[in-house]
Amino acid sequence: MTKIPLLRKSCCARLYLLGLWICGCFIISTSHADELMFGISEDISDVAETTSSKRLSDLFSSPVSISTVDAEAIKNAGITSVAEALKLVPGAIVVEQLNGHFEVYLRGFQNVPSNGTLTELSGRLNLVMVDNRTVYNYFHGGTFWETLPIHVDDIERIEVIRGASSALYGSNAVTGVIHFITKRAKEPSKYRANLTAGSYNTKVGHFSIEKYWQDHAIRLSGYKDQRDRSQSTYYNPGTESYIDIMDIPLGDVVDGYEDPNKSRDVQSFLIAINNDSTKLLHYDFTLSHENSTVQKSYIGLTTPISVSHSQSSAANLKVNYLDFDFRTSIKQGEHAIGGFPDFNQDFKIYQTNLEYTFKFPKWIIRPGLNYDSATYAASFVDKEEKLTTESYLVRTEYTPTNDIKIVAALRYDDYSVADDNYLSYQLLGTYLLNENTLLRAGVSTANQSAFMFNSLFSLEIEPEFLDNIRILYEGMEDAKLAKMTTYELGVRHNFSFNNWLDIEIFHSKFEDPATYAVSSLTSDPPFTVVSNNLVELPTTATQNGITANWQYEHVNWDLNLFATYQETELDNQFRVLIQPLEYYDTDAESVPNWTAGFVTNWKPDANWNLNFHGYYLGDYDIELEPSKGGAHSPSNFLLNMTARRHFNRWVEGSLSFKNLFGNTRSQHFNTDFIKPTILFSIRVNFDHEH
Amino acid sequence: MTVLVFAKRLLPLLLMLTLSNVAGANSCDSLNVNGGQNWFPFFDRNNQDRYGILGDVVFQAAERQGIQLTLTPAVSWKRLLFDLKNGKLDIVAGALKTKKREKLFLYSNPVYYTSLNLYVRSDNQFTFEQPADLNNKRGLRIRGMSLGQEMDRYAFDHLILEETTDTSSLFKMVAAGRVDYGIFYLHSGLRELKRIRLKSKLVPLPNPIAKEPIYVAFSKTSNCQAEIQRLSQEIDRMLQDGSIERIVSSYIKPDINHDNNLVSWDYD
Repeated sequence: MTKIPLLRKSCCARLYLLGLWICGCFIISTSHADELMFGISEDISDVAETTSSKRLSDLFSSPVSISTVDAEAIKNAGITSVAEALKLVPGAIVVEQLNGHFEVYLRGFQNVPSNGTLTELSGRLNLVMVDNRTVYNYFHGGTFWETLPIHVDDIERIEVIRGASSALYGSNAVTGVIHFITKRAKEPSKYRANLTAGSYNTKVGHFSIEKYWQDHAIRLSGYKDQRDRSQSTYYNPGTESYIDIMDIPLGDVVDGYEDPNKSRDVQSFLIAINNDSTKLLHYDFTLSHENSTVQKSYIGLTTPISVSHSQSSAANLKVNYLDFDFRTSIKQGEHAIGGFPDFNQDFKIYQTNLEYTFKFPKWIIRPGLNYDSATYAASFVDKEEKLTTESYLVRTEYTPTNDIKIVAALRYDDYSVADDNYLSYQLLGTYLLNENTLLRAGVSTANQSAFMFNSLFSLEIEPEFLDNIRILYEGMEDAKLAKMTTYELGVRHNFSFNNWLDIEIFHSKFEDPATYAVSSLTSDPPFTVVSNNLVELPTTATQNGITANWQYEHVNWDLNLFATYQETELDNQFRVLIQPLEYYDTDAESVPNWTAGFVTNWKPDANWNLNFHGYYLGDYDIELEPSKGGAHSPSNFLLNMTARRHFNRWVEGSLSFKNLFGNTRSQHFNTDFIKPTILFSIRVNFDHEH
Repeated sequence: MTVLVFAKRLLPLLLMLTLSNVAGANSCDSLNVNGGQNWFPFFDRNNQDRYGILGDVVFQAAERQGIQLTLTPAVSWKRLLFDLKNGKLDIVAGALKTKKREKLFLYSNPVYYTSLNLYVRSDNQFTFEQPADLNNKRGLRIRGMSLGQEMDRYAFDHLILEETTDTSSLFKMVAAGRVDYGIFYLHSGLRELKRIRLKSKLVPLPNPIAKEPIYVAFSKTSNCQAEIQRLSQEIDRMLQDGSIERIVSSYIKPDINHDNNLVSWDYD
């Protein structure tokens, strides 16, 4: 039984006292609240909506910690890759590893526990979805952002839910959910092309065609994104410096680094066919294909950066008939890491979901079934292995009075490989204190799914660059799955219709991680055999934090300020990856205490748009196993500016300056030094009615 | 340091932008008028010289009084009421009344009435004589649309009433059979049905579910209170001399039931 030190208790208490004080302030201020806009309303224009409780609802009254970013905001900010758009979201830690390649963590938890392997820096705890299709990587865990078959111009909006959310969204929504909702064709027919060019040989081209006839719509889009790195050297932990790839002792692996200057070469297409969503039988079908080669922080034996090759196709079908919702998807493809043939893999992933909604005057009950399977064919899993998950879920929304809403969700996951089955739950409540103030509270749990690397992995390698060393890895089928419990208190207050504040206080506990550790050193002449097996860790991470988000809109300008402060402590952190492991308690230095940002947009006239957005990340330290070393990332403020002009109704251009202050540094564990960049875009829009 | 230098330059710019909007407050040479979007026949900015019933009433009253009006650009309804509250806008041609709004705005006498009716498929009509007739049916309304305090309470307790965000979806969902009825303004709804070519498929049931008087709202914080007073009095005169009735009849066909009796339900 681990005792919580007094200091931690007081930190937690301070945050909750702060929460009570904030709620108290709003209660006291209710007499000044502006009730002007409520009651009878003639306003029949667009209303912001989300799918956060699996139903359309006002953003204001959503029971979860949620933020959205729409296509217009992405365009205004000069964003050119999907993960970069998350810099506009409170609570998201977004780091650029190489030119145009980003990694994302919600509320942190990267490198938790620390002293582990590089693979644990993948954002394994976020669930990323595209049009409800999970794009989680079931080999390694995490999201391979370059394999998403969408360009920023394909995004209708992004919904980000912070906090454990497995009961509503499924496994792996451990620290939150990032949901990309893509565009659908609308009348009239449209033809769009967007060409972007800029620093470091950046060349991005995107096109889309939208056709609509009778009640059916088709949208076809595709893009190609090529960028060079801002440097050609790689970090070598041995010399603790950036050197030429040829000077790093990699043996045959060096052949995988075909073009050290290239950051990414990604292309994809997406076809979306759907009918009018108001029809009794509504369908929505997407077909996509992507092909990518990127350099990113992944696997890396003697340098953090590896070359990742991917090719995959996916189909996703959603059908709604009355109160039935059905979705099925398939994704298949292959993935390879340059220079590591043992990691080459073919995969097939199926997802199927069926839900039914019972509606009553004050109740909505939504039971459902879910079946997922992931099959990998590779040498590391003895030719072919399959992971399956059967899930049973029920969600209910109860509104006893006009002021109170309760959302409860239960999900039972039966994994084919994990020892236990997992029950996750979410209990969320909102109380409308008055027309302008909403209080909310919630408790929720989430767990990771099983993935190949932890469960069915079995590999024997003899790296050429290590003389007479044989390394064995053995996964554990019945290992516990990491889980998270999150408690939240929140308040949303509209000072006026164009001026609102959203505050959330959160407490999360992360348990049951697992990692590979050396179990034995034996001799098999001429080899020394290093055996690694998966170890269930008693490590727990406890996080307390607060996020504030303020938005103000004027007629021709708006401002959004947001900040998150958090403290994360680790109990039973291991020292080195050699069994038996030794443990100690510490602060999680790998999670920055502060994340903050602002976005301001100004439209001086109908043709011009000027956007500034800034992103601040506090300092943090990542510490990995001794052979990888550690890295200190000092606090960093990045300021970007984008000016956009409509030349006429068909053509618009934009100019973006990124990293205006020239803060050239590695943003993430010994990856590239990210330098200022300039990007110029030209868009051609042709609507059929023209 | 660079951040500070930049921030010092940015802040005055933002301040200037804010002040430039405050400085745009109007004088009384011309009063600013605006109205809801897509609210035909009550307010309409799509025709050169016809502004819907409430718009025409305001423009005609102003002409009679020799008051100059400026129609300000279309903005969201919330922005419009915010501007009216702060005196940036003098007149809203067409607004409903709430207790809160009564404290903030001046109102004319009722100029006309809005009627909220049930739209159903023509092959699926039913008798609607009291709210209980809707108890086992599924309905749809526009998000944020109130049916009046009593009816809202009844709907909350007894009805399955879903919400949508736009008029077109509301009618299409009724036509597709996803719901049994949709609630919308009688006159605006008929025009929308024609636009989306569903006039032959959907009909409004004769009994409205709610009916509310509609007014011209004036800013209490406008600098032009004398002109507002004259306009309000002129509207009263137009009510008496039949001018408003003539304006109404130019927008609403006689075959549409538009009696001015308010709806009163027995909820027991």
